Amino acid sequence: MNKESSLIQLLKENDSRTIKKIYEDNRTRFIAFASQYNLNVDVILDIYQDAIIALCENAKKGKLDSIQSSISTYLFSIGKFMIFQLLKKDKKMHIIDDFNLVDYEFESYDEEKEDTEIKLLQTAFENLGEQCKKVIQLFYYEEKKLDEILTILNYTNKDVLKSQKSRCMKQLKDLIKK
Amino acid sequence: MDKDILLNNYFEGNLSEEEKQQFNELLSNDSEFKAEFEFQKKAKIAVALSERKKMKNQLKEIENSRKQKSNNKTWLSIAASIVVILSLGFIFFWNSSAKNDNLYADFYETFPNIEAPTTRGENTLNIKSEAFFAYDSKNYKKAIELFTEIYKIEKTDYAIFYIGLSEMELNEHKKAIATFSLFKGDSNNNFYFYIKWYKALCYLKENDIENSKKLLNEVVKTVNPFQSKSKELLSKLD
Repeated sequence: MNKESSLIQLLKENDSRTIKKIYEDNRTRFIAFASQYNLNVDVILDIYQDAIIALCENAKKGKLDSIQSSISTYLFSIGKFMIFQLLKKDKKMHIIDDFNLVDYEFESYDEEKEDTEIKLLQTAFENLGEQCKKVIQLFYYEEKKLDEILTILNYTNKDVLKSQKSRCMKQLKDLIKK
Repeated sequence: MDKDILLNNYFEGNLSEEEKQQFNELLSNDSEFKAEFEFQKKAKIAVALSERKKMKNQLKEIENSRKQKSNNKTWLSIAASIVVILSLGFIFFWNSSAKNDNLYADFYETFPNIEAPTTRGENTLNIKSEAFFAYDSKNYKKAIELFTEIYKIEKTDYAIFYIGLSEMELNEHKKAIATFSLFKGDSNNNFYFYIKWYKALCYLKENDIENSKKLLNEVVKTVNPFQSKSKELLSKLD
């Protein structure tokens, strides 16, 4: 296993030391790189943190498994993409850059953040039991298949897992009805 | 029960053609199914937002602990400077070349490939991604070869920049200076300050302080990514 793929493995496991190291290793260069777009440091750091989140999220979803560039490069290109999105939103830029090279598949959910039901669901999710949180998190966030979750959480058979998942989703539904 | 399987397969990205058709039919004819689907979609978004928020807090903490550390560092560095000032009284001899080497090591950082990230399964066969792949994999000799080829065809600025950087990585600073001199862009060009900064570092490594300072003084004049670093390096060269 080479260095990058073992790092990606650690990101999948949510290893906080690895996340911290990547954060520290690229921070200065990212600020230097982003400051050419006339953004202040707080904005840059905010974007930088979102880029790290996107990096970890895509690692967990297995989207980095066949990556050929370094993690830094991937991180910088997500960050660059996010900066351009921001500049476009603020109408400071009209350049259309070519982002076809990287498959980001990262949805910021800016509109959905304001949806009342989604806000309620967030709180409800936090209030679920640990096991339910794990099942739902793995299936809907990390986009793991039921068969993979079976192994990760040591379930004896798929039907047990499926009914566990339905029970958890029902709990979620009941919680937001209150 | 079938409906549950359909929904699970949808979220797993596993719907067969036949299932897709069934799925769409249910969506338009079965309001209960539609409601359940909408609910799960919203739940998916809510979970993502929740998880991201958790991680954002974790990252903010890293950032805050940095700030605290750097406050401590300020005190440490004040204490350290006092020690340095005191010791300077005793030190007469300072090998200037060793000093320049140290400064170079302090200020030089491998520049990341921010031009062309590559992932497999796409059109990776073009020479640009191959060149950057070589650069990313620290195969600088190969990178120089490929970027040189690109430069021959296109005369692009990024080729000059990354050839120079690769030469620096290989400790060929004289060559890098020559390469960077091929760049003719003005200050509106993205690479303008990047190239001046790295060229200044090459001169520093070659103990040509005069030329190094000349470039740094140009970098310092306007707002750019290397302005503060150049200022810092200049103050150390004086």
